Amino acid sequence: MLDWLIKYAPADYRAGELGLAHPLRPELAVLALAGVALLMWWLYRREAPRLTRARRFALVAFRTIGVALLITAVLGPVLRLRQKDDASGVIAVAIDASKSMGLSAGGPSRLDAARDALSASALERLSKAGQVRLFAFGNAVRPLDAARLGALAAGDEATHLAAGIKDIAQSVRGVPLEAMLLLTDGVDTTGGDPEAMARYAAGRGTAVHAVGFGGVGSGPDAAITAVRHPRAAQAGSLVEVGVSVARRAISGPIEVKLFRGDTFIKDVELPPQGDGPQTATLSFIAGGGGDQNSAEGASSTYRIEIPAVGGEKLLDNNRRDFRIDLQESRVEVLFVEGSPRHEFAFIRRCMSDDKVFKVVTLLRLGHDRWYTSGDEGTALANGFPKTAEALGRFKAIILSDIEAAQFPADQQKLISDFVSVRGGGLLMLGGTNSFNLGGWADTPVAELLPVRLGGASAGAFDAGEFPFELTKEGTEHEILALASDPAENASQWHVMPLLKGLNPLYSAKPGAHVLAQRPASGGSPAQVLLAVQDVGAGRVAAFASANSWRWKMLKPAADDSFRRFWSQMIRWLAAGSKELLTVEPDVGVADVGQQVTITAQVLDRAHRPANSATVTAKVKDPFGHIDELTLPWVLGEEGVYRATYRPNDVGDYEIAATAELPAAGGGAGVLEPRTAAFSAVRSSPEFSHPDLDGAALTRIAEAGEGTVDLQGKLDKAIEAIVAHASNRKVAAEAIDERELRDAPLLLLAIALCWFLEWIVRRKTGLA
Amino acid sequence: MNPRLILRALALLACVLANASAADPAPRNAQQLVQTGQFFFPRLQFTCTENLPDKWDAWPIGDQKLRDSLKAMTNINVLVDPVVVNLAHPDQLMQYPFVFMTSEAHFKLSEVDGKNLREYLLRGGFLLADDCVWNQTNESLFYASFCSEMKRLFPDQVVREVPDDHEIYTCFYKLEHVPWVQGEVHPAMGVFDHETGRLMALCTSGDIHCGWVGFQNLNQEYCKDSIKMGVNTVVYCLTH
Repeated sequence: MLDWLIKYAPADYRAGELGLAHPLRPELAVLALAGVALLMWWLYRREAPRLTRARRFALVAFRTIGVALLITAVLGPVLRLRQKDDASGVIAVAIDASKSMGLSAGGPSRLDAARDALSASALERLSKAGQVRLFAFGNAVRPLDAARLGALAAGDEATHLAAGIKDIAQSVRGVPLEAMLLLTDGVDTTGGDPEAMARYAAGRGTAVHAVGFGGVGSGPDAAITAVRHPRAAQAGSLVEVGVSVARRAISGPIEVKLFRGDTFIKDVELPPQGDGPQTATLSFIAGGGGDQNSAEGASSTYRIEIPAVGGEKLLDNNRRDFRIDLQESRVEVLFVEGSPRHEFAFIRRCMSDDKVFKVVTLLRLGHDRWYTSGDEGTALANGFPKTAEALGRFKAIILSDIEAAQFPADQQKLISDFVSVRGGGLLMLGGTNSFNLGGWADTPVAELLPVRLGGASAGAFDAGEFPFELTKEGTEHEILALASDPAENASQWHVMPLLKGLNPLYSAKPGAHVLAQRPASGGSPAQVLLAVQDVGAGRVAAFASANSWRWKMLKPAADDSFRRFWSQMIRWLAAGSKELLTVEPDVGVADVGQQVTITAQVLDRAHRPANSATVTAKVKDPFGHIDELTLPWVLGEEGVYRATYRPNDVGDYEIAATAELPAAGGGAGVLEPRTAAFSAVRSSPEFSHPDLDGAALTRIAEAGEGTVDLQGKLDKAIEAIVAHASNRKVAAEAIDERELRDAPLLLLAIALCWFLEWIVRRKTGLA
Repeated sequence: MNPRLILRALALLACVLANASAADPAPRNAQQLVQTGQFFFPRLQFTCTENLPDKWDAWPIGDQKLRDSLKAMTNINVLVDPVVVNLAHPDQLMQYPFVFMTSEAHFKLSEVDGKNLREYLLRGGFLLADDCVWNQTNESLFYASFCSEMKRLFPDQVVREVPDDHEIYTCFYKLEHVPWVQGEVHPAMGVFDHETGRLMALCTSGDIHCGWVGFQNLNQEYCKDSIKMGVNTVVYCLTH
């Protein structure tokens, strides 16, 4: 009974001392108590004539004591027990319970091996160094009873190794965490930085020891380690997917297959090689038929699969799902050309052949006579758009060999706003009516260009031939990417045919990126051939040559360089273009139960962020059930609205977002709805890297100032921990603080004070 | 006079003026327009299989007259100097994305020439071919060879008649169909890219090239239409 009243055993009170978690200075406490007493005395002044002096004193005393006890409870009364035993530190033993620990190489699983290593004798040896606390980690860290160690299963979908180290280090309080012993196969599947966390633990005085299980090179295996793909693609456009494969003990070719839903699209064969990584690239038409199968696929969930090869037993890492959202809307590009010429025809042709683009051409055939194509309406019948709304339908504008005088000042201002406010792209192509030669210097458009006009750049058009030389920056820029490797890319550009016809541009603006140049020759300095820069929300490029069609006519018909260059150029230009409403989940493929964050970006009709819109998203699950989410504005993020959703079933989820602008400012009304999608799967990244990652464990142990053993033996770690404990001198006594705030005696004492006061008041006739 | 008749007469006059405008929309001051990229009108040199008077080099004055017309009527920066490119020299051929070929005779391209022409068109080049009628028989010998050779060279592409509603007849001047000046009447034959539908090569049987020359014995209206067809073909090439 007494134990219950005072919460802990009386012996603990004898051994320890009472205190406050948030202590007050003694003089302050006395002063406060006196103040409370005087206040109570003063409060009873009106009833003084009806009270005897003794009763008034009793009332004040009860109430003062009650208040004092209440304040004490708030300040956190604790019982402090001093730990004088040298071995009182904690040894945390953490066992990896992720799925990869269930793997085996014919014998016991990795988890079983860890359990065996963590025998009773091992635990006993460890207990000499301190209190042993067991943890399991995987999806998250959780305490583990030694008695339940045998029931621990390797079922976690992920290995939060980095977070695990940190959480364990922070979960042990009041007593020093002497050492942390990790029993794992060493792979953090969540992108965390276990080394940094081990360094953090070591900084707190906790040595991190690592014991590896699993071994390396245990049987043939081909593992998909990564899949790189775009999150979204225009329907009908060419999509490239990069697949990283790690092979082990497989000498023959490895087949990599691509499926859309259950429909086979295409495959590629990785040539035989020794153990190590390989990369495959598969290209296909998004949403359309594959190279070998023309069946339309309604689903945009794709799958990379490697059929079992070479007696492979571990097949969980032979498959990876991913999702690409198909976008039906095309990138509208306005191509304005000064007069018919081959450059126009060739560039327009390659853009028209690309299903991503919808090219609207405005070709001047005479005074006030324009040839238009791609424009279903008559909006451009009279030439260049005259309003921001008419121009705003495009995502990029190409001004090709046309002089500034063709555009009145208000249209030039429209172009400037189109780039800097709307986020559109602008490209000026070379020609005898471009840049300086077209009178563009000192115009609003010249301010957008990444090159300086005037000065030396005001020279005559150079009709000669010259090479297109990439700068270092150019070899790595997406516009000029003919090959993924910069060196290979540079060599491909090196053999491109010479260009002909050049506007003299000698200087790029600060902040611009020169991607290609005409090399210096014969005393003439290098000239800018291709430069780009961001302007406001948009992007601008200057291409100083007039005859890039030579890259098409002077290369074999099968060569794709010309199309690829211009396609990448327009894609880059249009990338900054802003939609009034966009919606996107943070992942394309989520695990069932995983939280998916849905983010919407809303602009008003002037393309400014709108923070007062009403944004909703309807999420349709695979069974057709619709959940309606309200997306609140995210404080501090302009025009951004966000909500979360948790998929409960495997399948495709469709998101339909709507936004309504308020009446005040920016134009009221409902914006055009946008859609997005994601898929939910039951997958595990645990098998992407099935081998023991000895190098990672070694780095963790080094950072954590501990030991490492990759053979699944605990001896080295235990010896180090015990040796450390025996040498340790406890500089300061460890103190175990026990809370008393909820001790029943304290609560009863407070209640008793109020009760006694009430009794006295009642007897006096005050209550 | 009856007011209704006056209104009808005015309406008829308006229609006539409108049609005239549509039929001849060339700008009055085309030469004053800003002219930009350079355009060459090269003649293609190839080997004929018959020893008739007019081979690949028939009447170059016709080319010159079309170049002059292009310069006068459009804002295309046409180079008036004559250029000859040899089908056997691909490095030279590929420098010119537009070529013109004509002859009175049959022709059969050698394996190398055929390969060069196929590669030229697939890279993006455009070929305008016209049958120069051999007056002794009036037969379209060149046209017949063109059709058979194109089918041989392009088994994987579309070789067919060019329909009357094709854009090549309306992209600059409005023509009802392919013009004819003399010789046999055949539809224009085209080679189309099977994926994009782009017209890569066009062959006419009506000797429009002689219409460019403007021989006095020919119908001068037909000659004007042949000039329009030449202009349209170049504009089409430079816009598609």
